[in-house]
Amino acid sequence: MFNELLKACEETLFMCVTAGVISTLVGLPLGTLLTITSANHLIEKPLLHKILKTSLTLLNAIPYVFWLVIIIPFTLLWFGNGEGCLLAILPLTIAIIPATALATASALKKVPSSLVESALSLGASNFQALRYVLFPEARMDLLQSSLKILQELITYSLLAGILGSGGLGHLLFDKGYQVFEGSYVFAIAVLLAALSMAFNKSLPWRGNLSLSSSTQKSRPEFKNS
Amino acid sequence: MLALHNVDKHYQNGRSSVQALKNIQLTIETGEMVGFLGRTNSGKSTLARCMGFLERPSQGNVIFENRTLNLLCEPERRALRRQIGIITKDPALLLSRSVLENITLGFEMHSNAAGPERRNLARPLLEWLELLEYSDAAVENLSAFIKQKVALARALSMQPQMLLCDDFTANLDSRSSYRLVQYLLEAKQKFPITVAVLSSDVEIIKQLAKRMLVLHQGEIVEQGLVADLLANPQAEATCDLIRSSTRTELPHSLRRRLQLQPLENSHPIWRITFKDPGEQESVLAYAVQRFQLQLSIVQAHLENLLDGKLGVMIAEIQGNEEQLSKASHYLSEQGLYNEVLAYVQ
Repeated sequence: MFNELLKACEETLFMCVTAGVISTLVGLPLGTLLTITSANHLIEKPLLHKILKTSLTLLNAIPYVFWLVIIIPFTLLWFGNGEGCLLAILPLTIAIIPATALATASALKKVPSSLVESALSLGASNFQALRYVLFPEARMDLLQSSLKILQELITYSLLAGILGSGGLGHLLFDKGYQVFEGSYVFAIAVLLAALSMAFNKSLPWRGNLSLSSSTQKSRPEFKNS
Repeated sequence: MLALHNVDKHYQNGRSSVQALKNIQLTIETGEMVGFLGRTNSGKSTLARCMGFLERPSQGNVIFENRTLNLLCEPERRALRRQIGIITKDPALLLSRSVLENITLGFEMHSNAAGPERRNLARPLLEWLELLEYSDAAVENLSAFIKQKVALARALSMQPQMLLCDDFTANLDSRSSYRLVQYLLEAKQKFPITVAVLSSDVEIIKQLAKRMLVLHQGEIVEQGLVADLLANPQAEATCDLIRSSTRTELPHSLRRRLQLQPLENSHPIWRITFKDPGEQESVLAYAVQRFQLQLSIVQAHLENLLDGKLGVMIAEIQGNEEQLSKASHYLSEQGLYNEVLAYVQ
């Protein structure tokens, strides 16, 4: 039982983290583009901004199950039946990209324009304004939103598990729905709660995290610029 | 030299468009100290942003050192922005950085200097502004005055040719603003910079500028030497700004009795100004005698401007209406500018 749980847990984490990383790689640039093309921002492009905003909001409104149902058959064709986890990653990623992009945009929007302007008046390029002002100033918000998205991904991955990909969702379906085994269901509930809480922003260690990345910290990555 | 030619700026606000600047025409010579006086909403900040190349005017040209803003490509504009430092009422410091890191942001972006080198580059500025003890402090909890000093250090870190100060004392108490003004005067001595001060406070402009332009609803309504404008303002907006600032200096007991319009039995309070004080007392004494006036001085003081002194006298005047207007005319002829500040009963 322990091994089964561990494997399921690993699969769930693998799905969520991979989907999270890929969606960040796509969503972060999209969200950044959405912010900087808005009115009176670095690159004002009203048309592009409108298109991006409308499409992201629309995509974000589509329920996750929709992607699951239409994409899993295709991935089944592609990968065959073997790799359960891989099946779920694509729909998970697609479903979460708009949310990531919108969260990024709202975090970057919170940075006051006066800060960007003060960098511009020192001769900063757009890229420098992003690197030295927007991202560092918004980093706490970005971190919080990415933790929230991971939490959401765990919920989504359960659903994917029930539809046939692996992980805790699959185990729950097997042991909880088809044959009821109380000990499994209890253990899964505890595990899910633990995973979800690990990404919860209200836990005390999150407070420590925000302290350690405050202004006092030296930033080696900026040394060679 | 910075020049603005026929600069217009309007903002699109939903469907309506707001005109922030109308046909601005001005020249600021290199090394000059010039003041812009205007109430909030008069277009001061927009003007500062246009002069700092942070905003493109809707129409017209901004020319800095013979280079026209509209004709430049983005990298060239970026390089020019470095030549113009700006401080505003919001210090706009980066919370993710310490005081020192805020000041050295420019070095970080434009030079290859490593951390300790940047510290050394910033050291003279920190020493001069008495910021050494704060250099590694987080920005968040500093006082408004210290934040503004950090903003000043950051603006001067790139050794700009020009410094724009947009309402920079708005969030400071009078003592802190006085000290910041002293720092700006020192900066003018230390660095070869042109200073443009935009403020709604006549006092700040008096201390920092020799020449002044008055902005009202996005237009320059008057310009000239500070002493001339203070002594003899022509435009309605200028009179208004100076009068309201003078009124607040009057004793409280008198201020309560002031009326803006004449009533029955009321008599005027005059504000009499003269440049380069000297013989004026006798002229005044003669006028009082000749036009049979009763004059009681409420307040009189000398103002030290950057070039020369200005005498300001506020007096209650009683007398026959016809005689009053004759007296006013006579005094103006003798170089004692006078205007009615308010009325009392």
